[in-house]
Amino acid sequence: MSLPTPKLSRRNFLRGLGVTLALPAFESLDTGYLAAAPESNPRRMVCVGNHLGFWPEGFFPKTAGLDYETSSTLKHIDRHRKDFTVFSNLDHDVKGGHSAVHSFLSGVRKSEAGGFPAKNMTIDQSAAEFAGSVARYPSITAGIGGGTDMCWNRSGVNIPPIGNPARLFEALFVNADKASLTRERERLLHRASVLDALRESAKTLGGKLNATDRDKLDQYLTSVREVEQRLRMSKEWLDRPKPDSPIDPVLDEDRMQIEEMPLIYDLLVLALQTDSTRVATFEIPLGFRTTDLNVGSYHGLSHHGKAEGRLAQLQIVETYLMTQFARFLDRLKEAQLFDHTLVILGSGMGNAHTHSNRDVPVILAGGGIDHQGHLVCPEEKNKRVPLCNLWLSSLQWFGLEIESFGRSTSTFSPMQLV
Amino acid sequence: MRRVRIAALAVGLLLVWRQDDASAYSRVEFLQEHCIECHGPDKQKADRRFDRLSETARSTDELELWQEILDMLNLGDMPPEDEPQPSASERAKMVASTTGFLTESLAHMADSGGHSVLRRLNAWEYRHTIGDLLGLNVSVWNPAEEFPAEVEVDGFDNIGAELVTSGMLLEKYFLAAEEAIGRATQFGDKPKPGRWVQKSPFYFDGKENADLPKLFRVDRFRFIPETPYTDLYGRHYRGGHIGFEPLTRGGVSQNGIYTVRVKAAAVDRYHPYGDALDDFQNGDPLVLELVAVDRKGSVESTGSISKERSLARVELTDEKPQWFEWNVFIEEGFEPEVRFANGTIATKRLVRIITQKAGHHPEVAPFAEMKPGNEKSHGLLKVYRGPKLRIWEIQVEGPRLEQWPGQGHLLLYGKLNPNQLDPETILQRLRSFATAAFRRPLQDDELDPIKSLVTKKIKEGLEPLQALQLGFQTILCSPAFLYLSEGEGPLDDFTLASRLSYFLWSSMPDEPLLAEAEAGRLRHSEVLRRQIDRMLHDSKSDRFVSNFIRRWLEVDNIGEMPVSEEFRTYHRDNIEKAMIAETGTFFRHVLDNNLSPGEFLSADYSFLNRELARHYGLEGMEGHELRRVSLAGTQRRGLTGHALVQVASANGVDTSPVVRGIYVLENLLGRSPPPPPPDVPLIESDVSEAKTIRELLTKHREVETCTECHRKIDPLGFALENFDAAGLWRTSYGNRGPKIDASGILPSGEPFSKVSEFQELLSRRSDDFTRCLIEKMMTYALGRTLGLGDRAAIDKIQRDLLAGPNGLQDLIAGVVLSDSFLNN
Repeated sequence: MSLPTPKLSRRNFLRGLGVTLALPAFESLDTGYLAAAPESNPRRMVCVGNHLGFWPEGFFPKTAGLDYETSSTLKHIDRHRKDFTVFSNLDHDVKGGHSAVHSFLSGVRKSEAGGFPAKNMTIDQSAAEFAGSVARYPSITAGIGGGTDMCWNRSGVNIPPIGNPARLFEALFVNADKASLTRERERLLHRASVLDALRESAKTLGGKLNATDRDKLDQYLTSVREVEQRLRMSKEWLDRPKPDSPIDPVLDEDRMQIEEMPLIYDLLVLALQTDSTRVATFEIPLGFRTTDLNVGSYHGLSHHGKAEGRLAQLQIVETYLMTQFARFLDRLKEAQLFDHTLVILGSGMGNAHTHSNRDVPVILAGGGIDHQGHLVCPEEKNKRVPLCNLWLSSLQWFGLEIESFGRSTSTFSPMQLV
Repeated sequence: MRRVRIAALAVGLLLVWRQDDASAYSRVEFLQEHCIECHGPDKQKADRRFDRLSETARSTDELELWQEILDMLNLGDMPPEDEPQPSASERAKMVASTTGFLTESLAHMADSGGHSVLRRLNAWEYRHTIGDLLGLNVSVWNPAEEFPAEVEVDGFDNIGAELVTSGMLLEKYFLAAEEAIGRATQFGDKPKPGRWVQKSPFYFDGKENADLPKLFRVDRFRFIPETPYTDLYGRHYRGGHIGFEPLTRGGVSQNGIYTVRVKAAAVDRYHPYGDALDDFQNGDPLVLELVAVDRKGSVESTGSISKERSLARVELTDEKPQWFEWNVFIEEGFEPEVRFANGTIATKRLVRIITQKAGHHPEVAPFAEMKPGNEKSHGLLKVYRGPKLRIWEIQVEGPRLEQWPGQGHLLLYGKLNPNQLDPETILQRLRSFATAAFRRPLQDDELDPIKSLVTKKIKEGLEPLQALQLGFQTILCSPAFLYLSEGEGPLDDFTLASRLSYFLWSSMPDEPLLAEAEAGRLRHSEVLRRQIDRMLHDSKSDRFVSNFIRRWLEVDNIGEMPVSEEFRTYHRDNIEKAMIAETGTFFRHVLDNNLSPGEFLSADYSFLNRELARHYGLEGMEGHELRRVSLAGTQRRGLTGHALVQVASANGVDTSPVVRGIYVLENLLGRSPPPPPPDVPLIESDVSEAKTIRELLTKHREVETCTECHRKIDPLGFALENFDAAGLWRTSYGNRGPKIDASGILPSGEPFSKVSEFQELLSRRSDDFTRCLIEKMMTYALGRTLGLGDRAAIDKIQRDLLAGPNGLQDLIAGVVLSDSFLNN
């Protein structure tokens, strides 16, 4: 596979972002990130999760294959139909309704995380670990409001999303002032010694402990090591300036959540384009405010009771979500990132009306792979494909040399994820 | 994967689904008859072989096989259709026996021998420990605010074995420690109190005030009045909040108690615009809320604030101006705001509604045809005759500091000045701080690593004060501070002091408790009883009351599934806060009066304020404070009548009798039904076919394997169906939906026709309830799931309560004096 170097073309860029973001004042773009990107075609991953999923009747196409007939929900991304695969009959075989949705990207509920070596680590964090300090941020987790507990690290700890677009903009483009840089540098300098002292302190305690207690203390020592590792990474990036922003600053402003969504999508495109990160996530919560679409509350609508009026309102919401997603794919294409970026859209919720976590919606887009249209996986009980198999293949595509992930039993890659 | 399911099942052990009589039954015989032919020595279809299984299990692998057998039987998938089938009753017996056997075996397996493992302070305990150790007000500043959420096991977030420590958390500890030490450090002169006054107007125009946040600027719903007062109209910030100009450029400069006075009146709460104006009921008292806000990094959508803390609420009924005064804690950088908390939703909306009513109200008519804009809305608001919160003046005075420097500073530095710090005094300060922080005497060499750190930093050129502070921070991040180490066997006195203190105060022991430990007297039961009594009378025990309720009744469910915005009065009237306070006040009442736990089920009274009373359909109460109200003759007897229980057992939008039923079983009756077998069809409500949830569940229960559990679960949930997801009373589903039928039959055969009859039946189960409460309380106190080894202790507490004094205090003392508590 040979692709053109993703060189930022100003004209392309503007075409991509002009709609929601004010046009930038003319300024040079070729500082910072271009110098900092050693690889020409780095692979990237974006995971978008929506707590309430999609109404299955409207989402899943009725016919299979490359020439599938699109569905009422998917028609809004139909212009990308050659560039994504939509899957039927995939899930993690977990239960719990709302309280199992957080297993979408891990396959594992937090309550059972103890039984897995990497706990309920999600694919984004697994990819972020692999990416390490190659970019400023191992991953960028974004979301509307408080998000939906979508991203979890190796310790089974939830990584909360950044909910305010202004904060996300700052993280990407605003350099800290000199004083706080000095303070931070000092902090990092001292922290290394503090960590040494803590390790020694733990040892003085360790001698008197039994086996289970020592396990707990080991967890503490592991945390000390984790911080040391992150410390090294922070030091690497602390003195490197952030790239100049190609757009006007995104400020704190009174925004409706339906306005925040395209803004955050755009900022994520910029994050990838400036190589500020290789991994990004975007969480859409249960409480996503839909009143500005002039419909009822989202969670309320998801319990539609099959009433026509409520279903119609729910479809207005889902149309909005899909339209924004389609726009995001447009942007990635315009920024020439699409073919090296694997984009996942889906949910841990299969049917919000019945609180079912079976047959969850999953779309895989981009990545320069051989997309399969509507891929209907086996429905029979013993032949079902664990969704984690797809996650495993996705991580292998990203570069990880691993043989299992979460509940995976094998790889799953009819679309030639390699 | 199967192993994982087993592990998941093993969580929450003691609450065993009690089987009636499964012991004499032979599961192996059943296998011989129905399974071995295909899964035995000759054939091993699907690679499964059962002939080596015995009545007891010897390994997890065997348990997994039993779990599979159970799943297959539950589903009716095995034996295959073309093979001879067991009779329905045979199948049911086998299912019951295997379920019981698996639960017991798992309990054995997961039994950590009754030890609490090295237990990290959870976020709640950390917060209060930092507050008590350094004398900081952590009710407004929460040092643990940014910590990752703790893992919960059956609602409990202090289960040591499950608490996770991660690099991310450790980094948060660093930041919290730095901030805490900074806040406690008070070198320098005592700050002089200030006094600030702002009279109406509270809005400004013109260039000289161009730097003021939007809230202060004139717009469509804010104007500079010609009167000596300013009116507030709605609860949204535009026209519903006013700020305090003298402090708006950076807020107060010192943490502390401030006196805030507001001169205000409630005008036109009886109005000519109908019974309800938007959601404001004609005649309601007006609620004034005092809030502290931080505008740094403000977001406009919240009215130019980034953080806010509600300081006080008061109800106004008088048209004549009155002064209201509060002494409240305000943090550095925060400034006060005054709000009309129960005004109509938004002034903008109000203007629209009033315009629509112009035909009936001549004062409004001249504005109805005007184009939207300042002239129209200002003019309309000036003639508007609906409810207005009228404000004349706001005064702020403070801070009032009783002690300077504070308790935390003295613990850190004694009376030393920064220039008196030398190697000797530094070591001395580190030692005394660490002794307090570790809640026990120091071990010989324990402090060496931190001592060397400080010495090294001074050598490298760091100021002694900064090096010392780095040492303090390190102490607050070290395992001896962050963990409760309880060892094995009988607890030593200091460990016992901590266990007791974290149980009743969610924090470190105080000096009197440590003095008893120091004297080696704490294990004497009369000393312990005295301490329990003293601690329960200390206001710090409010943390026990609120946090125990939060854990026991799974209040966090509400945070995960917030009540939908469609329940408007629930949000406007702050019902969530009131209902949490209701159950808390009730618990406190039972505790203080040492009433028997049965009171939780049988009380025909509760503690309500005006808003909550109206939420319950009781009219005529006034006042924002909770007070005792008789509920005799209503449908709200005992805990199942509390909105908190009804909301925590729903999902914010609707209710499910199954979920509610399980909630009542697990949290009030101490029964834990097994999880449903895999692949059961889901219950799908379908209004298009107008089937009620009852019809659907009745069908569900026709399935043989479902009925055994669901006949125990569903009636408990159906009984509560009259309470919707916000705890409001309803008689049908939706406006035109099917009528609610709350009748049912308990598994014991007792019928009930409505919730009050159900509550009566429930109140006769006080023994089951008491046992459940003992188990929950013990889990909370020990920070671990209970095991078989704790049964004897629980039995004894229950026997003692039946035989002797049986109040809630006696129950708590019973838990503390039990073998499970005194030993590890």
